[in-house]
Amino acid sequence: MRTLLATLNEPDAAVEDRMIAELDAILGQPLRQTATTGEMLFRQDDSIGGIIILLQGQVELFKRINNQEVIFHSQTAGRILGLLALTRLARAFFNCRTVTAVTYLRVTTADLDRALQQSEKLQYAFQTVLMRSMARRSTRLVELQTEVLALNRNLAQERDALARALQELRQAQAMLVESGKMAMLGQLAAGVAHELNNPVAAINRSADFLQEDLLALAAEWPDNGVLCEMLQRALTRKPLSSREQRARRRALAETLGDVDWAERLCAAGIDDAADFERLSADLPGTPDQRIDRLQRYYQIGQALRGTRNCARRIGDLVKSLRSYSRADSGQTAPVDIHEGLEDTLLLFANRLREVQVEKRFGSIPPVAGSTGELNQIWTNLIANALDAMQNRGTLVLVTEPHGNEVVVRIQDSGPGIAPAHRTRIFEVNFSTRQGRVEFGLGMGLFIVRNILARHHGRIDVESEPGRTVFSVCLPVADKHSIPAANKE
Amino acid sequence: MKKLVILCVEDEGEVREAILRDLALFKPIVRVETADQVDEAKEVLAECAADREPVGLVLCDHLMPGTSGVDFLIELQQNAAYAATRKVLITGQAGLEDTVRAVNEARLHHYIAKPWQAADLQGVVRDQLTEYVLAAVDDPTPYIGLLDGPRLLQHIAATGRDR
Repeated sequence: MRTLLATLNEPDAAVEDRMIAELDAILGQPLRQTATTGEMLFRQDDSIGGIIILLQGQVELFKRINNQEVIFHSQTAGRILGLLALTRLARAFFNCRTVTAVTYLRVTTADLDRALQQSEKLQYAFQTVLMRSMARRSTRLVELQTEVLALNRNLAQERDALARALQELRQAQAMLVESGKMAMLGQLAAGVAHELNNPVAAINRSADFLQEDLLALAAEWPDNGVLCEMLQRALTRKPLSSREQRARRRALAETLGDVDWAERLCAAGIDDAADFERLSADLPGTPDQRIDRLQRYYQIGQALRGTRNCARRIGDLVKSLRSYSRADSGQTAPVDIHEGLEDTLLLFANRLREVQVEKRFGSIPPVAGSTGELNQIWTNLIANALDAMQNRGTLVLVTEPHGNEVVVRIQDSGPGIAPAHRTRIFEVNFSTRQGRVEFGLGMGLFIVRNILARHHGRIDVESEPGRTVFSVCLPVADKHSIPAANKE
Repeated sequence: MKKLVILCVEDEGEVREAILRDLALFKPIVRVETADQVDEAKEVLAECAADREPVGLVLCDHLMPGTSGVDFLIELQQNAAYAATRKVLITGQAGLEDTVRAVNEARLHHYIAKPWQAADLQGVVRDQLTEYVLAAVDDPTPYIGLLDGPRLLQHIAATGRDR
């Protein structure tokens, strides 16, 4: 008599053959059925009413999940189908489809029950087949679970890689937008500067011509050179501050004993009573008319001086704007760093009113690079320095040669950079300006670093309260291709 | 008659000269004092106070070294001695925030944007000095010719009836 344990040690084929032989014997050779490839033997939730024993061929067991067929067992389906339905006495758990032509038996639950009661041999064989099928299926489940884990890991890695790529793309995009903005501003500035250049040149020259002609005519004016002297006075005298003017007027009022008259003499650029007597000796009319005339002479000179001064200031500004925004998109040429720093400073003039600017420019050779890009570096660093100092304090610009490099230091007297921030300031979008939109939005130093990378340069920062220094190192332009041209 | 003082605070010499020239027509009734920054403006105010001269109008730039124009006007507003003094900002660089502050805290009377036109500046000065005279001067008669004559006359007639 065989036992269950003995049966469990037999090969599959032997146990299965004995199980079928026993069933045949007890149930009187039940009918063999056949099916071709791709036929459904039963569907999920069918009521099978027994089991199917596969004699030949293969099937697969699958479920539909979210409208997709998921195959759970094909190699591991085993010889007995409808197992889960049998053990649960319920409806089919899987769909069963043939993958080859198959031969099988259908055994109803009642027949199976009867046969098992009659033959102990069948019991052991059936139990063994059942247990092996279940074991195979559960091994398969472990494999599936392992596969899922591996897939999840791959997915997580891919997701991280995508997230990194996305972040890099965003940075690149932000930088493109920022440099696009700068490029557009640069073009606008260059355009405006170009348009302003001709009129301002014309104003400059016209003022010169006016002065030339006026002085020539005044020299021939038959008034003993009074007009000429008054014009020259207004043109050449150092303009007094408002405080000096007031002091002079007070002093004059005291000696003359007449406040109004003192005011009129001052407005006409006349020093004292004797000066007035001398200048007005040959002029016609009352003293009132004479002082009026002298004041008009003086005012003509003042207006001319004002026009010339202001036109020159606009001219300088236009020149700086033009060289600052020179549209040399990425072209490499020998660059005079001092010129770039001066141009940048001039454009910041309205923020420098209360800043003491110390320029310690050394004798440095040109560096190789793009003027426009290097100016962006100076602009960002100076803007940051002024922000840190709130436009009040000392700004030191140092340039010096250092081996094959040029070092540019930009130092401010602001409160310094907190140690915790020091490593983060070069990151994109790092900003201590909370929501204030001024020069940028935390792109500044990130852009500086990128530009320097293109120029094979470096930037370092040292900071303590009251003294923050950004040091930029740039390689000297190739000596063979560039004539040495130093500028103090 | 005491001349009215206009205090012009402006750091650029050329701009000061231009304003002075534009205001020259008020000379018979006005003395224009200039200062190139707020510290100096305060000295001028102290001198005027010592000489008991009426400061009718402060014409002030905004962006200057030291104290800003708006801060100066706010300080002035808080001083009762200058309650009647008219306050005008003449600037090209005051942003919205500063301007709002000037209106709310300094009770700014007028804002002139640079560059200005002579006629506009003269019109603003005429109107503002008229307001000052109406509020702070006992006898407006000497100012009728150069300021807003009809308004001053109306005022004289009205107060005359009251007497």
